[in-house]
Amino acid sequence: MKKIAIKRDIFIKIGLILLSLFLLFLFIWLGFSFYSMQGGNEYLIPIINLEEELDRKVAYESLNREGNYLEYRYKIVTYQIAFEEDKYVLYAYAYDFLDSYEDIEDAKFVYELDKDKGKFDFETLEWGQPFYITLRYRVDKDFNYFIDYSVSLLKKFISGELSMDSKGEFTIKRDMNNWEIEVLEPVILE
Amino acid sequence: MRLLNNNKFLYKNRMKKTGRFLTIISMFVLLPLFFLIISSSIIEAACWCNGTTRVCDATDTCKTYQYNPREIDCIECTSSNGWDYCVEGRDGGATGWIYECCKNEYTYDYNSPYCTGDDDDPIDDDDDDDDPIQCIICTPLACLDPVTSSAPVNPPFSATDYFLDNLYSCLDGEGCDPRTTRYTDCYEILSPQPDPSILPHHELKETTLGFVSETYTGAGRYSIENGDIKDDRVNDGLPIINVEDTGDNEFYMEATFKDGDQIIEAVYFWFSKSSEKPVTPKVIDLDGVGGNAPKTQNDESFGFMLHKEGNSWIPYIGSGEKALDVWKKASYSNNIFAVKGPGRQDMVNVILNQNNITVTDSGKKVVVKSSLSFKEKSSPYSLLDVLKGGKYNIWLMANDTFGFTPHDNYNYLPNNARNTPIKNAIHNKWITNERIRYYNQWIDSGEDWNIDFESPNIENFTIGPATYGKTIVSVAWQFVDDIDFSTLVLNILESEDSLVPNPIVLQKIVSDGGATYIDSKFPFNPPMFSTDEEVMKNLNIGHLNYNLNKYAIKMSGGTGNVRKMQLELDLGEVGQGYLYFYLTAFDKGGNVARGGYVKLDTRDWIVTYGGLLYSAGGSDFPVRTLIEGRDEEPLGWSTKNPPLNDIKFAYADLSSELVGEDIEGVIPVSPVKSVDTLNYHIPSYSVIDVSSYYNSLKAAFEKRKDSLNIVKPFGENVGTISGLLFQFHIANQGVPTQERIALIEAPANLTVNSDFNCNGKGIIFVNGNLTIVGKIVNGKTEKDACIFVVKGDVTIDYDGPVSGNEMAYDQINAYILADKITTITKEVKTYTSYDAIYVNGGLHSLEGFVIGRNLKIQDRLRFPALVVRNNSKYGVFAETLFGTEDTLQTTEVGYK
Repeated sequence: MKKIAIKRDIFIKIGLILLSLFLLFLFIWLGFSFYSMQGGNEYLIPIINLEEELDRKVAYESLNREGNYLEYRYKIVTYQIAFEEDKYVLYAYAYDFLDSYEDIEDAKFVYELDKDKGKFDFETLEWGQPFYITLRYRVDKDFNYFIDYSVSLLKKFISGELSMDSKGEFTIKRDMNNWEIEVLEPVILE
Repeated sequence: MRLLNNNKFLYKNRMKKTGRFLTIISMFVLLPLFFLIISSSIIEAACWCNGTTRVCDATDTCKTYQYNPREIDCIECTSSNGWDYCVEGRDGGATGWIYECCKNEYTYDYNSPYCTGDDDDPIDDDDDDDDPIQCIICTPLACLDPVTSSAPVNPPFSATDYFLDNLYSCLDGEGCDPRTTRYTDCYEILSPQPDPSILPHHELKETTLGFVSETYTGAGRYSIENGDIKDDRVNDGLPIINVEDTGDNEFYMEATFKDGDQIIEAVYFWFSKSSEKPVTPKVIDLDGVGGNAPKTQNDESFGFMLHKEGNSWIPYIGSGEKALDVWKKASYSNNIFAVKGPGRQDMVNVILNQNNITVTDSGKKVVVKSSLSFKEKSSPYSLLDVLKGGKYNIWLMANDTFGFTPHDNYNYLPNNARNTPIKNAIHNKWITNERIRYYNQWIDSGEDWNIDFESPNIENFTIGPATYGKTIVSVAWQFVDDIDFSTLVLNILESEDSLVPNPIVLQKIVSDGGATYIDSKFPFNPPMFSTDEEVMKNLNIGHLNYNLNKYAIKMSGGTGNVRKMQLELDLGEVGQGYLYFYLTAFDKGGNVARGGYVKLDTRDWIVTYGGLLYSAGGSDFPVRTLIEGRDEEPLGWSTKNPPLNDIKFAYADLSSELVGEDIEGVIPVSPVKSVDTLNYHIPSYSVIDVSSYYNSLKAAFEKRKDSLNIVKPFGENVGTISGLLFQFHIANQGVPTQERIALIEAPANLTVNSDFNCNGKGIIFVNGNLTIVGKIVNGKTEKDACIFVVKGDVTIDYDGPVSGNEMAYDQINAYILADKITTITKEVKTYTSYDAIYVNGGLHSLEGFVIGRNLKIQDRLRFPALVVRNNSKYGVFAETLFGTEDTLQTTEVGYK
């Protein structure tokens, strides 16, 4: 049986080449990410991963970007409000729940609002009165944002979902900064 | 390389083995599978020829038909691509005929027999798979109980509230173009709501003053004395007494709710001052989540609901406003819960014993006995005092199953194509099982309940002379309450036995707003007043029951919450003392206005307007304390001429302040009106204990006698004087008229007849008793002066009426100093009016006064029986007669 002798240098060279390629990849990847996440160049725009019943059961009416803020606006109706020491607990459903559900029991959800993140006198609400609730999230383009953006960009690239012609979305998780309520004309229920 | 060849060899061998293996597998697995599939396809046919025998599926109706047609039972046949050739018929039937085994009906068309309905027949529209697709228009489900296609007639709410839009739906068949979704709209089937009624039941137990109200709750006093509860709060449910155990003596309300078809799930009570239908929550908080702490939105209404939960009726009370206005579960223990006020404080306590709720008729009839209390639960002495008083309309409402919370009304139905849409539609319409359908179907029960927490007042309770009749007094007062007058009782007591010698007669009643009931006990003999509390307590003054309280009059009813009332009473020849008038009035809530009593001083009184009325033994003459602005000048005061016309009434009491410095062992006290009059006391520089005016003054006079121009117009040993002091025909006896002094010395008694006219200056020493018959007049009031110094008693007697029917003053224009008692006698003649005495000068008595003169009560209340008025002429004249050696008497000097 013939023994094949392999020189150690080869491994080192291969290692160095791979490392160089990896660093090159990192450089390109992160560099491209950093470049593209700057204003106007994004290939991906952020959306908040709400992971809450409100978002699962109510389709937001609008998603606006105001500076560093993302605003989600939902049109809902409450049927019960509980006042706790530091929060309001809304028992609610989507205003247009019939578009998605046959039975309102499936559309109901509970959502908590921190009292220190917004102000509203719920005693002014009529029974069955719909309102817009706007949830505002601050999204700074900081290091966390860069990491989220870069990773998402790479994933989209690998999966082939990344398009140079249109902007995709990527999900981030942030805490809500404040909320706001805008009351709509009441629906008169006898 | 060898190695590789070997490997190839081995590989080939393996491949061969594998091929065999696969072949075997194919034979044993695939072939049976193939046959299985083939046979399955055969089995699918309902009838077929198995090669020798016609075979039919047992469940199918399968017949064999001959071509011509003729039915024959083919027992042997061959299969030939859908056609069966009969090889041998039963019982020698023909062979060679062509037959078809059909599941359904058989037919033929020329030489082509076929089975109708089989998939391969050439006919369209025969419900087999080869039919062309046709448009089948669908029909959605119809409205069947518990829904209907008929709109409700005269429903409580708009018909749309019961409308179930697009309840059922279906889509036209595939052959339709376009395919249309078709709907059925339905209505819920209405259920009439329960009929409510209520019957307030008032307390039968009287208050301590015997008051009972059928329509009011009051705020009377609650106390415990010697272990006995005295609860004067009429119609208040606390302390709790079980209605069932007390024979309905207590205050409660019995409400009845009846439904015709469904069980009653909730009953409601609302009390409101407004006649507008109550606005109450649309939602009940069944899960304890949501809403604010309970409160009622104003202090002029309150209410509660009872919801049946299990075997209990749980009380709920209102909370919040708008979306937060929900029925919240009340804090309910020991059979009490509180309805909260606007400030979330306890406003009304509701007493509800579950045993007093009766459910009958399979839950379709509910009777609730409950009571209300406005006392604090923990301390029934105190009132909650939140709710405003007034008349409260009682509103009632009840919900049966249909009217309460519709959200869960149809959950009992099993899920299927008919029921599930109903359940979903109701869920979507009513959102939650806490929303009440008929939340506002309040019905005015027609019953009211009144609440009065404010005590009434008795104002301007006065007694004075009437405008007519000499013995009639007017007793007047004004009742003031925030709501309404109910009843009053007037008690009259006398200070002395037989003070009123004849029963008091009621002359007249005047009552603004009238009266519906008067229980007059006039002519009335007043019971005796006593300073003994126990005696007074036993009189039960103010009690409404005559058996317990001998009142003079009781009056009830009429209209108005501010009522002026007046009684005119004939007191007759009332004596010297006091009459006590007690007035006790009740408003309709049993709240008591105790006017206390007004003490009518029936004694004659005196006025010493700067004059001297001195009694060495002290004085107990009735005097008045007059306050300017409060005490109005009596009618006729200013026309009493003399002496009242120039005495301002408000100042008439000024010199009634007497200081008896000579009272042994008694340190003089400040005059009663010192604070008001800012008076001061001028002490004497020497006070001589005068034991006898007669002796002292006669001695002083004797010393100065010779220096005076003395004349004796009546001579010596005078016993009676009458006529003029100085007869005009008598010569001046050598002295100027203005300087002469008449000296009259009576060695024993002296009588001054009524026609005596002191028309000059005179000094009269009486070594016995002095009797003045009626009056002593002056010729010139500002100059003439007579001073009487009497060793014995002085009697001022009467002498017929001075003037007609109106009281007038007998004038005594003299200064009288008596060593003994001075008596002003009573007029005993039957006159319409009695006369008073006016002393223009002074009266001194070392042993006291007896003022027997009295006036008719009407005059007595207005005018003093004795007026003693100072006149400086006596001071000057006395100095002439007696010198200035001694201070005879100290007097108070004040100004106002």
